[in-house]
Amino acid sequence: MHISLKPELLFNLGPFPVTNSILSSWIATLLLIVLAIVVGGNFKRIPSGIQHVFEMIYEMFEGMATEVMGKAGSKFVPLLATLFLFIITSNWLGVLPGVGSLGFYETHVAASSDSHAAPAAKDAHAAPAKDDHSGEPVFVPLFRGANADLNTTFALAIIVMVFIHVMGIKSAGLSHHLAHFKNPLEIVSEFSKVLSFGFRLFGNVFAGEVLLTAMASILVIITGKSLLLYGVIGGFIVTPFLMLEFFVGFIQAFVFAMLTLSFLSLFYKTENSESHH
Amino acid sequence: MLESLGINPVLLIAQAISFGILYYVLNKFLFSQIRTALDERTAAVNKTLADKSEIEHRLQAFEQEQKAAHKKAAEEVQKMMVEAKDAAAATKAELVAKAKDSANAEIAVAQKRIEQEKLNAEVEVSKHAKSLAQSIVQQLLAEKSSDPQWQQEQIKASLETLKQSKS
Amino acid sequence: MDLTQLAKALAIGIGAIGPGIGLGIIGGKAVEAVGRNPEVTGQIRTIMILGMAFTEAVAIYALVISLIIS
Repeated sequence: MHISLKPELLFNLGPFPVTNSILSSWIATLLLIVLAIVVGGNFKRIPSGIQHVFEMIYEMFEGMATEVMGKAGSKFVPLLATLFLFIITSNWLGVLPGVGSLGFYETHVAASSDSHAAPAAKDAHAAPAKDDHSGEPVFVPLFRGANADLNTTFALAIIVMVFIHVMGIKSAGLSHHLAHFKNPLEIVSEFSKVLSFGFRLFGNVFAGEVLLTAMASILVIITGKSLLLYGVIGGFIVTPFLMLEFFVGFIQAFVFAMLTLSFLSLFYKTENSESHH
Repeated sequence: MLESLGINPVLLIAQAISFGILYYVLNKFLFSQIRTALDERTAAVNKTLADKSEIEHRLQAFEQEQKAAHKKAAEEVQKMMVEAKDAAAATKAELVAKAKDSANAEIAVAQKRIEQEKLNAEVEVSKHAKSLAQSIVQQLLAEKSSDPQWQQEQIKASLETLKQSKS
Repeated sequence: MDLTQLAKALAIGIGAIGPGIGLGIIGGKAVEAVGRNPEVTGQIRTIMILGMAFTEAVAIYALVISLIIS
């Protein structure tokens, strides 16, 4: 059993490497966009079905934002809800059967996300890389949980942190905002926030993926034989862990949005808190 | 290290852009509508609540008014009843008095008439009696005139009567 | 002798001790708090999840280190 830390390269679209995780994240994005247009297109006064779900999520974050930041919090609700929706959708799509197991074998090189992979294909044969899988066929899954890729999670983390600081400058003024960082440790803490944002989400989702794969193939790993029966039993073994992963997917999406909100409230000065100073 | 973690700036930016697009689309098509819908709903609920309290207020006032009207009506009825009773008593007394008066008058008239009748009757009777007496006398006279003894006796008696009346 | 596998195991194994204890304390304290005043269960749950997220991050760092070691 080997699960790569990196997303596997599927093909190159010009200079752009299309990996399996970005494919999944596009699917999640597309799904949400279609849902949003369908629901927004025939928006009803009396909600029903998916509209209800969206309204519920929106109201949940609105309640929390106004609780933490007062009335000003309500303008950040779209960002929080988008973060939550994107993360939970891609997490739950990542748990679906076929993600991580549906794919193809590639013989020439260990799949890698970097764009040098394709030109370096010949070198891989000649110079044995540190990865001892090169040379023999390597399994490349077609889909991979979008958040089991550090590119996705760091993209989200950087967006959030940039947003938070832009909002801080907008609300309090540049000099006032920079006054937060008299202590150099504060600057370190800002970077560690990005790291912890990115790695938390990635770690949870990736560890979940490893856990699911390990549990599904536990009999194969122990006995060393791959029988069809072991696969069937593995399916039963993995069921409770699947439920756990659905729960973790929700919790991580929620935590991401909640942390965004609480970091935002550290820097965003509302009128009330300013007069309080 | 970034390489071994699979971090690729191109992919990072691509993910950021796709998230940006997602944010824009969701905000434009969904969240703005939810926002307005929620605001509308809040306004509607507030209005309903305000209306409710207004209606309750009005209802209370109306009920009080009604109660007052009831009370007033009841009082009026009471008053009218008392008045009616008084009036009835007055008319009764009047009627009774009138009836008594008319009865008295009638009685008086009747008495008068009775007296008149009596008088008439007496006159009549005396007339009758006179004529009867005359006829009886005539008859008797006719009968007795043939009897000379009775004639003498009669003359004697009448002479005696004249004598008596002269004395 | 290749100690890479051992290093990976130790990194996450030792690294998970602290966060494990921390998560236990957070969960236990949250239960205590809910027991003391159950009417603020929702707020306590939110705060607990946030605290757990911060604590868990430490374990995640260890996991990342163990994944990086090769």
